[in-house]
Amino acid sequence: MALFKYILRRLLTIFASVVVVIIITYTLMYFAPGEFFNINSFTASAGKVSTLTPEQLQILIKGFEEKYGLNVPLWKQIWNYLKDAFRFKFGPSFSNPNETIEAQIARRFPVTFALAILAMLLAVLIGIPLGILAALKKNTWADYFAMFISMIGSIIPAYLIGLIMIIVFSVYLKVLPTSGWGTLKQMIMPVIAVGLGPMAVIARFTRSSLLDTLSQDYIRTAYAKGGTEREVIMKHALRNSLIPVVTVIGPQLAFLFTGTVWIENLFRVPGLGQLFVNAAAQRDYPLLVTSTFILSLSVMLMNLLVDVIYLFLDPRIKYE
Amino acid sequence: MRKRIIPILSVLVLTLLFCGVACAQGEKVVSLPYFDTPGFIPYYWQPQHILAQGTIFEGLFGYAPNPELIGGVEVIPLLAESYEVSEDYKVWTFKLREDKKWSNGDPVTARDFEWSFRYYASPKIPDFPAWAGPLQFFDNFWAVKSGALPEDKLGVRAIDDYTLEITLYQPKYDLKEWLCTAQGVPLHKGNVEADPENWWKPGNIVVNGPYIPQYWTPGEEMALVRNPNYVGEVGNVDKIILKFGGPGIQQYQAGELDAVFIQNVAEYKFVLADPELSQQFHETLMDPFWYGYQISRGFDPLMDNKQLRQALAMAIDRELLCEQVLGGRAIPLASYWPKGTPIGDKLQDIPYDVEKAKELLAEAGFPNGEGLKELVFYIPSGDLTAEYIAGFIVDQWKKNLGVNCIIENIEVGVYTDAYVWANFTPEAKAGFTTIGGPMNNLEIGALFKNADHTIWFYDYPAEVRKRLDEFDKEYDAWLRKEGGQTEEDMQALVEKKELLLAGFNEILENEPEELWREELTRPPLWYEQFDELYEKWNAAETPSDKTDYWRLAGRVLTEQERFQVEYNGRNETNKEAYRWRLRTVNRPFDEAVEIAHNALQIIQDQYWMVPVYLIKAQWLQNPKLEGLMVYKFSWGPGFFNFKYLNLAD
Repeated sequence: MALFKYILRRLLTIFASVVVVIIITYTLMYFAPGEFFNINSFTASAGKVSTLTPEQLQILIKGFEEKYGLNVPLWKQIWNYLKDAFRFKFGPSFSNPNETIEAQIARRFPVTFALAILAMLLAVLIGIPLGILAALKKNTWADYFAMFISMIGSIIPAYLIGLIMIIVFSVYLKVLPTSGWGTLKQMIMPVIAVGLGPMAVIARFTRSSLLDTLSQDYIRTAYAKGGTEREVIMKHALRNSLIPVVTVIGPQLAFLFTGTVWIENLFRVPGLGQLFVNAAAQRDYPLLVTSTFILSLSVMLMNLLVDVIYLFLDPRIKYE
Repeated sequence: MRKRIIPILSVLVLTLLFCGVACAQGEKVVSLPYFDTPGFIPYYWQPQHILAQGTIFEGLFGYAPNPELIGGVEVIPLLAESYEVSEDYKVWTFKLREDKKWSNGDPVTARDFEWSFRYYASPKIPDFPAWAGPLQFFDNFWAVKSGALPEDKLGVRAIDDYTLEITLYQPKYDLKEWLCTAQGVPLHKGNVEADPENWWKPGNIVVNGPYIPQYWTPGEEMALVRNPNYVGEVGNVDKIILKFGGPGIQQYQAGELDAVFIQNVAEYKFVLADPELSQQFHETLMDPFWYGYQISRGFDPLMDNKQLRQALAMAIDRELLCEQVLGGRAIPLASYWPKGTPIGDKLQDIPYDVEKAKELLAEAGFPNGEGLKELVFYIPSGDLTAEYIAGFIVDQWKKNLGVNCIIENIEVGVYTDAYVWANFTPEAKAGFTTIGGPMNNLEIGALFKNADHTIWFYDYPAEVRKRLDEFDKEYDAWLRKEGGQTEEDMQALVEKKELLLAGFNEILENEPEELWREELTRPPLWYEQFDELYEKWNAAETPSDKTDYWRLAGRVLTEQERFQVEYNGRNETNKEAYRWRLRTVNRPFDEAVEIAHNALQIIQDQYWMVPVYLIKAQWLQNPKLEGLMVYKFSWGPGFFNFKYLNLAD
């Protein structure tokens, strides 16, 4: 019951925070110089010169504002947006009037979700063992090797790793398709490219956290009580070491939902990143605000999820 | 019985399998790179508008390849069989081919055009980008779009099933060219009305072009298949897969694309060094574009100094820029059109002459750059090409002339909107911005490639430019002004109108160019509009109506006052350029191409907008593939008009 109340309270906080984030984002966008209509209509043709009269241009702008509900005061625009957003109705975006943003998200979200989850799974499955190995074999070749691998994942951009894989596996070995999404073969390279970065972070966090835990008194006590190394590490050390790791995984996963645009472009993965990335430069308010909405909501929900997972990892944590 | 069925079924299955394999083996599939396409509604200014031009839709006219002509295209009739145009170029009558069909087998008729054009013009599509197509010139289009008139008042009429009449509100000599754009194609009425939200999705869409969208995954790819009901010239390709994004050249190397654009100098060098790939290399000039710089749109009178502008334009080694900075992927451009094109051959180049530039700079009052304040070259943040190019130019000015110029980054959205294409940029210091002026589509006005911004916004003394900017703001401010309730309020405007009328008549008496006078006296005349609003104001019953009519009347006068200040404030070169522009746009396209250089030369010689280089489209192409057309207008380079594709065995 206490947990239920805690989650409810957190959900209310998330709701309030998202509202504040949207109000701030929308207001900033509203007052930012540069307008979608001008940027994207090749103003030269759209009437700042004499090919259209001011009245004709006004009709075009009025029509545009009418379609997107921009013909009402700012507060009402924000209110209308929030009212619809929490029902997951976002309307069409400026840059894609063909269909609504929710229809685009519905099509793209499963792809991004699959890519993010698979990449995170890969990162966890490799990152945690790598971190454990490095911690247990501290200052040996195994540690250096594990940290070298994780360093590669941190310093080489995912885009470059992707490109190298394409050249090796698609152009020379011809065993994998360069791009596309849907078949297992098409998924391999993008998942690896996206997963390497988080893998590196997880490996390093696991290593430092485990090293820290291994120096704790209760670990010495566990050994003194006659526990084998395997028992002590698996039962006592690892479980406690994973708390900071889980803290990292949550936000990493949230950012993967929108932050994989380069990889999406490179591998032609039809995900959310591509949808959101150009919104700011194009002054596509509906899309930009929606991307903020989705991202902030994802990060906050992930943080909540992480906090709940803590309960299972560390019985000492209690939420009142 | 059962025993008999099994062998019969087996034979049937085997036959079907054999047929399937045989058919699949014979299917010609071509994979090409394409813009990530968000839908198939043709009239939006999005990648599908290129696809609509001859691939999935056809209009009355379209493009055929002709490398000798502007944009590499020739205008040919598609659904039109013949046409007649009235002497005043306002009424166009088209006879349509009777053999053309929609993909569902229905005949394509003049009624489809009539319905589609009325649909485009209706307020049902409030965000219709009318500036990108021919409907903006149709009689009553703007009144229909704003809801003031019903759709059937639009200047389009199906005289019978195969005769279409289009009436324009002013002469338009290049309507044929405008009809090639995506807003000139018809839609299938039944298709749209059956599902107004989703008619355009693969599976629903009915098209009249040679290919039909089969599937579409935004962000990944789409496929087009042959329209079995298409009547007309088409190549042998059965299916076209258009891939959005991806690694590009590696896709081509892996055999996943049949053509690919080269994106950068590194790829270009890699291709040239590869014995096999270099054989598959193609390139063409993007002649409807030009790239260079323009004087920033602020009001610093320093930039009114023509000798200064000319000196700067002459002190850039364009060859070196193309060789060193652009790595051979562009050619030097010293006039708005390149040599080898009908307009470019008649334009004089801006010479690269450092000595002459130094002389000019001294004559301008700044020998060796002395006494000249630091100038600013604005570039969009994050644009490396702009940074390299601006860096090169600034370096040339410093080295050749001793002129100091710093580079300043502006966020890309603000840059495009407020610095490059704004009428004026009050906050801009004396200096420059980058500019690329493409033709949106084949039409006479676009032959000036936006260099005619010199006429609209540059070639005036700084104080006039500043005054014009104030008028623009005042024009907007009238929408929010309070007043107009008393006769006194209105009388002030009436008196102003009389003054302006005197000025207007004086301009009419003194302007030597008949076409200009004609333009100024084309209905609705501003003073008649004013009188009408005055009458409405008199008859208005509510205070809010009175305010509205008073505001509109105020706007009419502000616009007229702006025009008079603009006309009287123009430099002589500005007036002469505009007269030549009028002479150019008031004749058929082919004739316009012959004389467009006159206005362009005057504009170029003012050095407000200075050409520097022209990019090439470079690509690799499967040697078995023929008929690939490069789209060279705005959005380009890209591939388009796929009906000419042929894939050899």
